[in-house]
Amino acid sequence: MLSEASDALLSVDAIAKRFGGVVALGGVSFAFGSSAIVGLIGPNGSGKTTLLNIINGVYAPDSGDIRINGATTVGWRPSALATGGVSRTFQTARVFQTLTVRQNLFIPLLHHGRMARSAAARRADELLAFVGLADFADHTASELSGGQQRLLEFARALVTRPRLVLMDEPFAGVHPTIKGQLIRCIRETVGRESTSFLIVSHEVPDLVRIADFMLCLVEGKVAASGTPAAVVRDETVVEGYLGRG
Amino acid sequence: MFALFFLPSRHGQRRIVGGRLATLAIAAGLVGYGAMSSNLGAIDTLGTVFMYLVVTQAWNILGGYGGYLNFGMVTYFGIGAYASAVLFQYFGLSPFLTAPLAGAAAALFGLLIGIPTLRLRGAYFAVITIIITFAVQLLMLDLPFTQGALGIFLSPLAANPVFVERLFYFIFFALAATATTLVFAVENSNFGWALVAIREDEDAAEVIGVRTTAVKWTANALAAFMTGTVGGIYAQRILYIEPTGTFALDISLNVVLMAVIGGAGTWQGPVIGVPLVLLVAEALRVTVTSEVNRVIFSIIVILIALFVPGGIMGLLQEVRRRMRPLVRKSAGETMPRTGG
Ligand SMILES: Nc1ncnc2c1ncn2[C@@H]1O[C@H](COP(=O)(O)OP(=O)(O)OP(=O)(O)O)[C@@H](O)[C@H]1O
Ligand SMILES: [Mg+2]
Repeated sequence: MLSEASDALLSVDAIAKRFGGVVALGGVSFAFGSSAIVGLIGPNGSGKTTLLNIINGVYAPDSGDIRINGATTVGWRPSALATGGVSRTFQTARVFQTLTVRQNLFIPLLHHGRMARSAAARRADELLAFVGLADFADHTASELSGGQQRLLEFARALVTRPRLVLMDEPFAGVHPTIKGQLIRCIRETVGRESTSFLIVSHEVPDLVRIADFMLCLVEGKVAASGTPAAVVRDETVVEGYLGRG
Repeated sequence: MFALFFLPSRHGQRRIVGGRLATLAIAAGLVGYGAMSSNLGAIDTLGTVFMYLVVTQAWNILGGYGGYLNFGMVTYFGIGAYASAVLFQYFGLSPFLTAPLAGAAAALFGLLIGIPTLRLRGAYFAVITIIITFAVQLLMLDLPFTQGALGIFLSPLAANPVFVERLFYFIFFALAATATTLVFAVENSNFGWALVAIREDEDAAEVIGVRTTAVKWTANALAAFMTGTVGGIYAQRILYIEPTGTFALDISLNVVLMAVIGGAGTWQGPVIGVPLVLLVAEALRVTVTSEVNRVIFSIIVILIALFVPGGIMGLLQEVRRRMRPLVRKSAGETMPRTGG
């Protein structure tokens, strides 16, 4: 679909998940390669967060397969996936509140192979400069604003150089300046490290601006997929999500 | 897993050296006191301080750093005490020799019970640890080899009482020093930072690569081992083990209180909290009735929870933070230390 399954970085194959009687996902399939920004849209409760949770191992799917670079990862724990190059951010930023900004970035580095202390410090400071938090390195994370916490969470997701980053609503409630900052960082990371991003957002115009591909979930099924321009014009998407008028 | 990688310290280098020297001086003083003093009452009380220090440091690993509040440390303690009492009763083995086995028994129990309990979070975990204490207490009443409510007697050591008191003093001192050193090492290790990440946000920790289940199990088993070991020695000290006194809820609550008052999640916290709580408890015991005693203690706990959530160590760190010059440190000062 979006890319040939054989050379895909991520391939999601007929993933189904129900919670009790609720069908959160009813057979979702798609795939994409590296250096891709993929936007995921859909109404509230359409299964977007559930899909991210399944890709990074928080939930096991009822059926279907997830492959990263061709190897199935179903049954892997999130920590194993993190080591394997999949990281994520949450729908509400979840940073380690009582630790300093720099310490927040050390924790993933500690659990990512052995790294010399000086190298880890350099990497952390590099990332802080990249997202524009260098001046806050020694502040506790709780002293940051909501938007800055998003930047920190984003930096924490990138610090181990993942191949795939899953982001849940990164732009929600964020000032345009920080939003611009995030978008710039996402683009630069794709360009420099060939990282791919799967981004869930209700801010469709922002997604259209940065995404190479787009998917729309409606009631746990892929209602449309393709280029952003095509998806936002799709009849089912307009009907089921964007609305007319 | 320990100390593979040290994070930049949160303290300044000079303060660390000062703090370590002070700690060593106190330790040397205690060794000297134990060897020289003929005040048996004081030796006995300090022995109890050291014993509690081991258990409180053990609690501190999963509770202080990891945020999993175990209100049933006496379970591990009691299992250790029973293990050494049973080994004495049936095989004639001295608890001094079997203390590591007592620790292993508690650790094994900790590993098994951890499978279901460490999935629970917050208050659910705390409550289940209390329930487990009662369950194990009942088990000790009913097992065929624990002699039910009658309990197990051990033989006193055939030596003069002063020597015996000193012996326990030094054994508990050595265990307390070891436990404190271990927690100090944990505080600065990958393992310790993994626990802190779990305390801060367990789901986020897992997602960034912390193997949360393995880390929690390790912490819990380590705590159980330390507590079981000291419980095994305790059996030889008290000479009589029975279900009610051995699994007293008070012991578990005291441990949490000591850690929280001193400052949970720091290696210094228990070192401050244990003697302080025992001292206050002793002072209250001789001045007021035990009911009033409990009320006063409860009030202290509530006040600390409300006004000094970091305990005394938290307070000290806050004072230091405020005294820090207003000019912000250059980045270089908070870079990782290059020495050990
Ligand atoms: N842990 C859970 N237990 C039970 N039901 C769940 C759970 N997680 C999700 N669901 C249900 O699955 C469906 C999909 O939820 P999900 O959170 O994936 O939606 P979403 O697309 O992320 O919505 P939103 O845009 O509001 O974030 C919903 O009906 C939700 O109630
Ligand atoms: Mg969601």
